[in-house]
Amino acid sequence: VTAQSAVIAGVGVSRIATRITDRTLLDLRLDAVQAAVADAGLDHHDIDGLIIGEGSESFNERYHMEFAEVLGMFDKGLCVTAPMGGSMPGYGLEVARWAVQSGHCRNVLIVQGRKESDAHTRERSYTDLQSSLNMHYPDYELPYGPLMVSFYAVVAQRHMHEFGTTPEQLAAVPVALRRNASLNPIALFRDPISIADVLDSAVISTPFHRLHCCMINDGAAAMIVSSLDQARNLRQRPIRVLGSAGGHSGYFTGFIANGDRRGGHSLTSTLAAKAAQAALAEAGCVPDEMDLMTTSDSFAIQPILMLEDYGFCAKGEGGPFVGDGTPISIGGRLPVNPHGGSLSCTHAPTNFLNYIEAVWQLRGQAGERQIPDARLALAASGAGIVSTHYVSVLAAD
Amino acid sequence: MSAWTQQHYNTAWARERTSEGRLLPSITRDNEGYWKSCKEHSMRLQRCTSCALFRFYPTPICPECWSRDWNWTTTAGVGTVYTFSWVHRPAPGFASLVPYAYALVELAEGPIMPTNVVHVSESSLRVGMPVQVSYLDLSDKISLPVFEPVAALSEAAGR
Repeated sequence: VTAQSAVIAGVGVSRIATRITDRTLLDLRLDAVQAAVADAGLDHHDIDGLIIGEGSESFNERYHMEFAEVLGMFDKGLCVTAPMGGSMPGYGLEVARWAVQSGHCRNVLIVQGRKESDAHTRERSYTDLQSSLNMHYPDYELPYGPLMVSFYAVVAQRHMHEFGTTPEQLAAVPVALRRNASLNPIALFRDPISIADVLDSAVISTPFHRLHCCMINDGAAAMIVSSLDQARNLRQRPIRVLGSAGGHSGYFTGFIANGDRRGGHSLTSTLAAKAAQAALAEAGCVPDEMDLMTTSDSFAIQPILMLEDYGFCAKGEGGPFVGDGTPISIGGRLPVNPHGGSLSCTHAPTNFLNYIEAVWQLRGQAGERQIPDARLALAASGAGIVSTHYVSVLAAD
Repeated sequence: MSAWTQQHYNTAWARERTSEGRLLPSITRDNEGYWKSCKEHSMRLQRCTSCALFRFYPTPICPECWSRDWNWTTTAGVGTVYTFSWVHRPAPGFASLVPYAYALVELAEGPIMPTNVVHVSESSLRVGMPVQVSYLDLSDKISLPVFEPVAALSEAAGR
């Protein structure tokens, strides 16, 4: 077994839509898998690792076994369900590269898909689903009536208090991402919006209005992580993982707010900073070298917070960095989520397209929204309010 | 709706709720001392007998020194607003309360806890505002601690 460089060899996305009724969740995941295998130009018999996100029709906690059987994958060096929520693709990439770098796997398939429209109906809210999953503490948080939005809203409110971040700066995030999405044929929301439109949209949970919040929709995505040597003989230009790391704090907002007495972390200063520093150090890069950044944007505060924690600006300067949205739009100082992110492209499967968009940009396959000469991308995903983070530095081979 | 989703909803709706549909906390071996104290309108939190750290939510180990021993210690019931959000689209059971303030309050003893701030207007609620505990009697077992501005309390006392 010799040390190998890990690369992303193929990516695939299913149909994405507000609601998909003519395909099962399994169908959507299979659509994404087949698209990724075709993209890589790989023989599917050569896949010997599987990492799949949580949630399936069978409600099997060990769904990875079922899914691998469906695909006829018998002999695997890695096979696991990763219940990592919005950080699943970043976690998947990290574990897949360990498996490939160590030589234990040759080609690891990472797949996730969600039918969020199922879980969010007029009759029953997402809050009910959270409580059933024991998400967000049904004994200590949910009795006080927070929405999913509220968990991020209190982070935004605290950020505004500590650093003077303004409602307009928060509104500039969805405005910029909508501008980016307008150039993406698969983005679900492409009509331009203004800062006034965001601030005039219905208040959901202050400081967030409807347009500060991501969509809820259906879709699946997949990627294949392979060794560099092998991928050089495949169909696409390999995308190298130059560095990658995780940072995890807690899940209870009180725990995160109380923070790390030793490290000074809190709701507004997250362990994404640790993940980013480690990933950039391994890659031998600094933030200024990045041609684009992709990150969680379920709610408008996250890109602002992450710009700071990844080191693109000082703590508290995320709002001014975003400005009127131009600096994070395509053509700006640092395009953020050029595909449009969860705010305008797709939320399902959470944050997965952060990686796929980075791959498309680095291959030069991003069409109208192509960032000229994109060589380096910081691709990231986060989950559990602001507690679980993966950051990767990607580069074209 | 998929079988997966249906199964989860069934679990969700099996939880106890108020007649308005508001989710009630469940009493467990770890948290019964806490909910009992709230029922008595005298909030007690676990205080580590080894390193004296207060903690919330209730757990069987000190997160700092890993001692398994604690005392249920009465809190002063005061703190400051750490952050908040006015919820305008209600969670189940909250329709008659909109907008309501979901908040994190930093207790004088240290822990930061999720709660509601009540008897406060949208224009007056501020981060750092001093608040004091009061209790919502939701069921025969549960009185939920919420907070209100200290000024509102003295005003009520003066009437």
